[in-house]
Amino acid sequence: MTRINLLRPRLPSRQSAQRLRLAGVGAALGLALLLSLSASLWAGAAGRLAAGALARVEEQRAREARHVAEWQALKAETRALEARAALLAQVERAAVRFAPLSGRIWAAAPPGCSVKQLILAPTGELIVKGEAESHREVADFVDRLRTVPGVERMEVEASSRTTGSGRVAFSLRGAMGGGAQ
Amino acid sequence: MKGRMASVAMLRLLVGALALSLALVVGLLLRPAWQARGEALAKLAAGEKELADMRQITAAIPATRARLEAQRLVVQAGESGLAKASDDTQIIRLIEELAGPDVSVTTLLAGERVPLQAPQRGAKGGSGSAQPEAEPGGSPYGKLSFRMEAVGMQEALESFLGALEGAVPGLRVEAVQWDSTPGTEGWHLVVSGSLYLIQ
Repeated sequence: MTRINLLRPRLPSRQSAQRLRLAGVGAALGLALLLSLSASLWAGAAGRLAAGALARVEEQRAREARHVAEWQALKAETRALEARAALLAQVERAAVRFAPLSGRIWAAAPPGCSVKQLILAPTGELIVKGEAESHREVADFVDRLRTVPGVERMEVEASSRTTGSGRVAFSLRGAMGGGAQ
Repeated sequence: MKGRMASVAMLRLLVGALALSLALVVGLLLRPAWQARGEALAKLAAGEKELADMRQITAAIPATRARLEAQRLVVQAGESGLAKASDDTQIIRLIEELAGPDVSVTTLLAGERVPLQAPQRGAKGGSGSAQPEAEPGGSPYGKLSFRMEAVGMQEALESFLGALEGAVPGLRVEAVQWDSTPGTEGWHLVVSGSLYLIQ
C-alpha cells in the first residue's frame, strides 16, 4: 500500500529559510537605522541646547569681565600701596628719640660728676666722657646709667686721676637699647 | 518557485539598502552630531567654570576695596610724617625758629639724596612675606643725609633737639654728639641723621 503524506512539510525550504534570515537582518538593520536617526536628532538637539547655554554663559562672562577688570585695577593699586607702605615701614623703624635719652643720661650723673662729652652713635654705641671727684663717683654714675631706660650696657673704659686738677677723668662705653624712645 | 526567488532577491536588495542607509546615517549624521554635542558640552563646562571663577572674583571686590582703603590710610599716615622735596627752605626756617634765641645753629649740611629702596628679601629686618612690587616710576620716597651743628647751654640744646625730633617732618636723628666747650658752660651739639622725603 502506497502512503501519501498530506501534511505540510515541517522543514522549510532553502528559500524560505533564506527569506527568514534576510527578514531578520532587515528588521535588525531597520531598528538600528531608526535608533541611529533618533540618536542623531537627539544629539543635534542636545548640541544646540549646549550651544545656547554657552552663548548665555558667554554673555554673563562679558558682564563679569567688567568687574574682573575693576578687581584687577584694585589689586594693582593695593600692590602699589603695599610697596609704598613697605618703604614707609623703614622710616618708622629708623625713629629713635635721642633728646629724652640724653636728658636721662645727664640726670643720672651724681653730684661732683660732670659729663664733658656724650656720643650717641648711629651704630648704637654710647660713649660718655667726663670728670668726677673720685673713682667712687664714676662707679656710682655707671651703676645709675645701667638703670637708665634706653641704656642696654655700660662699662668703664678708663678712669684716671689727672695730675693737674686732681680730678678723675673717666671714659665710659656702652650701648643703646630698645627703650631709647 | 520563480516568485520565491524574486522575493529573496528583493529582500537582499532591501537589506543592502538598509545597511547602506545605516552606514550613511552613522557616518554623516550621528557621528558629527555626537562630536558637536561633546565639544559644545566641553566648552560649556569650561565657560561655566570660568564664569564661577569670575563670580568669585566679583564677590571679592568689597574685601579688596576694604584692603585698598586700609593700605591707603597706612600710606597716608606714613606720608604725613615725611617732608616734601620742596620743603627744604621751610625746614631751614623751622630749624631756625626751633633754635630760638638760646641756641645758635652754626652748620647745616645736606648730603646726596638717594631713593628709598624696599628691603631685600631675606635681609635683616625684612619680612619673610612676598616682596612688594617696585613702583614703575622708581621709588616715591627719598632719603637725604644731613648734619647740623649748634651751640648753646645744655638745657636749651636738649629742648632744641627734642623739638627738632618731634617737629621737623621726615627728620630721623641717627646720632648725636655733645661736647662741652672748654672754659665755658656752653655746649657744642652735632646732630646727624636722615631726612625722609616724598619725591
